Amino acid sequence: MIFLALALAVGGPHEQISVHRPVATIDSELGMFGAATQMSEITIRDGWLQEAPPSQKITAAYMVIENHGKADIALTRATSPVIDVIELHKMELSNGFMKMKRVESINIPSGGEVELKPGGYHLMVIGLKQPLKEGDTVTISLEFSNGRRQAIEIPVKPRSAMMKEGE
Amino acid sequence: MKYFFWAAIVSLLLVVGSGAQTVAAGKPARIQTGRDFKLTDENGRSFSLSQLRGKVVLLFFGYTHCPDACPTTMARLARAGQLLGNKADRVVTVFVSVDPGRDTPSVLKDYLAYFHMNSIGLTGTKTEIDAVVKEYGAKYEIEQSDSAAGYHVNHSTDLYLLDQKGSLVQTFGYNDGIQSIVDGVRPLLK
Repeated sequence: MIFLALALAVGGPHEQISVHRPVATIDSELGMFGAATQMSEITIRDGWLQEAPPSQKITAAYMVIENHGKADIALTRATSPVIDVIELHKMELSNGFMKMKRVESINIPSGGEVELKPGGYHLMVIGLKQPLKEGDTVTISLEFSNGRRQAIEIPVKPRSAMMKEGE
Repeated sequence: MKYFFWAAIVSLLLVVGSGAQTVAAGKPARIQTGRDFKLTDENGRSFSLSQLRGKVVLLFFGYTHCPDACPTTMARLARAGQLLGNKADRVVTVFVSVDPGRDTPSVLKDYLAYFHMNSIGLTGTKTEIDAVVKEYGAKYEIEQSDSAAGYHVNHSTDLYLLDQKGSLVQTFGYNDGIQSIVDGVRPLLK
């Protein structure tokens, strides 16, 4: 189990995690930072990083980002101590042709949410500094257009474990 | 099946109003018989499609650096294999790389091993691969970008079902679910 201190994401205004669900380690963090979570305009839930085949250094991470604030907020950047580069990407399927585009930001509308999911937006994970397997967790620091920064801790899951009904 | 219907409608519209793009994906049965082709398999050996006569084949085009569509298709096929139970050993997934620059046989071998299924990975020269892509009415484009991942490959996502004689039986669109695939394969295994 890889367990990375939240403090690894340093500098700038810094909110603590508000990840709902998975793994026990995150629950304990929620206990510690529950108050900070409630103050945040942004809630991030159901995050996961797709387990990559051992030889691959590229994968994707997904999550739902909720904006409880009165203004739109955009996700502008993501970093992680165990990943060389994270970019924001979008997949577009048109007539059976799958295109990938890099985007500068992902807008989260006021009072709404955006789901990063297979076939849509993802965090493009480029350069895993160490092999990540199911059971590991990864800390990712997200930066938003309002200057906020939020660290999340998400589990590594194989794609097969995240298939939805009828997919 | 609902998706298949819509895929058919979309295909029809494509044919009727075919504009600048020449996407053939989604058009079933452009090939009636899976003509043989030669590529190189994940062990670096010369491979002919005819070697798989007697097996049901699920063939698609992808690349190992693909973060989204290819892992999804592989996960679907692995699940379909589970649903087919002990008959799954008569079904082979064929992953044809459209990224010969990075997908060497050994890269393909490591990649496929991760998914624990009956599969063959194929690569070759660009010319060899392009001939197979054309044969199946598939499409891909290598897009240079400023991404740290280097270039990426946009590609069609259709999945081709070939019977034991190598004939194309059905083409599944990307939004056809696991059950559609199982329903397509099962009658061939009677």
